Amino acid sequence: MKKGMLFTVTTVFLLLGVFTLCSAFMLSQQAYSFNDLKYIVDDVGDDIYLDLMETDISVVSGEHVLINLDQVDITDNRDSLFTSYENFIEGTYASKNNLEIGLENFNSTFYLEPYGGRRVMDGGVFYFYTGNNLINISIDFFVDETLPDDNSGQPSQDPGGDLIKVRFIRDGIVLSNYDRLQDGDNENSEFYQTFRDDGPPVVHDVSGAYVQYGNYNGEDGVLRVWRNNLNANISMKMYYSLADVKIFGGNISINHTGNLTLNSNIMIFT
Amino acid sequence: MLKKGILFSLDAIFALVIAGIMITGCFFYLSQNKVSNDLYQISLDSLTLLEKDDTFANVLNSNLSTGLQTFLDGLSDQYCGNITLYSSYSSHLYSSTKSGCVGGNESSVGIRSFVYDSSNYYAKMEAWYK
Repeated sequence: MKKGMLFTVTTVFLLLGVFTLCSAFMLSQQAYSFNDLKYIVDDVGDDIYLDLMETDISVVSGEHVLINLDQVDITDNRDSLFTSYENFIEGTYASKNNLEIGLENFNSTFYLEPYGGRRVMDGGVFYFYTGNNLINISIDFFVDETLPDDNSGQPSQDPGGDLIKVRFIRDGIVLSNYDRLQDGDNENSEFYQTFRDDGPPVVHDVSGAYVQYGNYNGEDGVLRVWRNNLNANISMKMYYSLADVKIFGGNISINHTGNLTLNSNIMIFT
Repeated sequence: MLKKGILFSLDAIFALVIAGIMITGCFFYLSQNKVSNDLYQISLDSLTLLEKDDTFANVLNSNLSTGLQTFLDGLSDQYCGNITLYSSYSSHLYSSTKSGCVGGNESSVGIRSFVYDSSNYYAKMEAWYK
């Protein structure tokens, strides 16, 4: 009886030791917790779109939503920078953290929800698919070392349309100021302003900027902005009638030893 | 009969001792793991702060690691740390260690990536108790 009891007690203690050892081993294998992976998501994605595009994006929420895009580069999609960053994260950074990290749809395109809007750069043209609930758009071109000429204009008024405002500003002085109601489902003409050299003997148009809003390639409410040799600092403001906007880009997936994974959108604003 | 009893007792004692060593070792390992986690969080928080307040950008811009040294020297007395900046190809760029600290104790390492002037970098912080 006593022998049996002693045998049982020692067996229990031995098994307890083995179970504790297994538990410690499991914990050592799970060096990352779920919160640690969320830190990695924050590290990889936080402000990365702003850093790579060198564009400031801010949102003011109230009765309406104001989305500010400052320092907008409309000439370069910067996709090579996005590719370089993706390679760095999936390679060196993932290796140093002992993780598998994947970035998907990681480029200069970003999305606005719940409006169904998106921003795309393609072939030197800035596209902003405004989606639903747009109230108006204001675009300011801050230019320097250029002289405006008479070659400028704006499309005809579409009563009941969305208000589009375009201004060209130099040294704080408004050179030209356009605003037009534009139907988002029409193929409208563009707002445009060209700039000249100072001659003489012959004065030439040397640069210009163009803004168009309406239907483009079958999609309504598309803002297109492009330029010709114009150096300008561009600021855009979009007003929407629905609050609670979410702006996001591509997707990040993280995998640690096959049993701890995390998938997430890369958030720009939420 | 007597020999059998002694042998059995010794066997039981050995088993208990082994089990005790295993359990003690596991608790020791787990407590070390907790210390390591605390240091890991300190490393991550420090790196996040240094990225957000542009210390990393300033170091790269000025070619001086003064900002890193100032931060490390401002850590609480019980903490020691070393911060190193690397290029995306793991080339060592700048490094600083808290004054009066030497390595050797158990440490934890955190990593944070950042972008400066359209190029990719990462920072590594190793932290340990003094």
